[in-house]
Amino acid sequence: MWFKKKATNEVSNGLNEVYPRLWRYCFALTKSRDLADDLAQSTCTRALEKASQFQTNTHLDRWLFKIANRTWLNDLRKSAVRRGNGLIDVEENDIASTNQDPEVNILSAEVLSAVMDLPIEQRKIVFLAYVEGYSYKECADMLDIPIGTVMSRLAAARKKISKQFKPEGMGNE
Amino acid sequence: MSKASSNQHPFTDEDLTAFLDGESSHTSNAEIQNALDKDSDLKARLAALSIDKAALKSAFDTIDCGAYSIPNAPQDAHYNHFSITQMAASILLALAIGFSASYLLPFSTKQEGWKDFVASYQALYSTETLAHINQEEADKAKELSRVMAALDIQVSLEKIQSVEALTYKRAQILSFNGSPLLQLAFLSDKGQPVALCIIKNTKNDEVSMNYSNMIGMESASWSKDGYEYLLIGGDDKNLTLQAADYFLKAI
Repeated sequence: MWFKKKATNEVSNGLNEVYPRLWRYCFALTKSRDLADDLAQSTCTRALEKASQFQTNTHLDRWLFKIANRTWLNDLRKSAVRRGNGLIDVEENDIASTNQDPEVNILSAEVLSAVMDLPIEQRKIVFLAYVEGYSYKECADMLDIPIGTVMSRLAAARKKISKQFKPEGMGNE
Repeated sequence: MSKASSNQHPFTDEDLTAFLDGESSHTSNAEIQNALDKDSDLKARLAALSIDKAALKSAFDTIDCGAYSIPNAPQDAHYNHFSITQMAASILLALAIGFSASYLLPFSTKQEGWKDFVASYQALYSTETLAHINQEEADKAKELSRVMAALDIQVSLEKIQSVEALTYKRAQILSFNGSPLLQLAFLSDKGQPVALCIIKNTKNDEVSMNYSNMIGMESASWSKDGYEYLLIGGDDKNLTLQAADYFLKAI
């Protein structure tokens, strides 16, 4: 039982720190603040219920993202679509911005809009690889897909969003 | 895989993406770099795959989750709060008197988390799940009696059908951690599925009515006379309040 206790403590103590990033991933999945709230809360609840299964001294964030992904696929998406909340344009969301510069906000809104228009399978990998900075292998592990699929989805996503916001120079890459 | 147009350098879009992402173990960076110096088509393809990753990250950094609270840990994880010293003392004591330490540790068999499972299950219900169910009164009564007997509860069909704004549809015996979990399904006047779920209360305590919103559905829960109850479904808070109050008195 020692390892179970340690795992449970590690999960319950770590949730608070990871929660803002977890919520942001949930927002990328759901495209809705309300659904992101639901999904993040459900993910935390499930994580606490399964806390004894968490492998201590590994990465809590990746474990939570994995649970969020499965929860969204298995439960909440079905219910969200049924309730008519599933397909919401990013512009309709009151994204709380901490940036007061209107030009920066416009750029951010355009970038977000381009990413949120991607199909969900591409959108979540773009988020995990480019916003969270995970490697291809880490993304593949979290999403239970081969690395080749990660690469092809990122390539497809890049082709689409590159048309909408190109880097100022190769140095951005 | 998207093949390159250049015959000289058959790099795929995936190769170029890995190159841009610095994932050197998945592509031959040196070959691509070398080819770029000579091949303008390849340069154009690379440009068509380029994005401003810094802008992308900054854009997501502007999204704030606002105030939040972390759900409470389930109570069956009681050992969370049991100190290492206490655990060690329990084990020593158990060894000393020849009992299993498990008798001394405050583990509970409480079935926490059942409400979340019910909520996830209920979220999959739609009007169509229940609308077609139209049993004869005698069959309904027989089914209700059989289902309620699983938890030794006696309640008449008349009482179950007398709640305002809810039409009783059916009763089912589900299972949670090996214990019977009863589900009485209703459709509201708005056509929204609502369920009253009942499970044995292993703590045997009395808990007054709690209201909350679970996965977008209104819910009320309480415990009474050795049972726990959860009424969940729909978006009409008043209906949930009234129906929960009715069931609290009726069962």
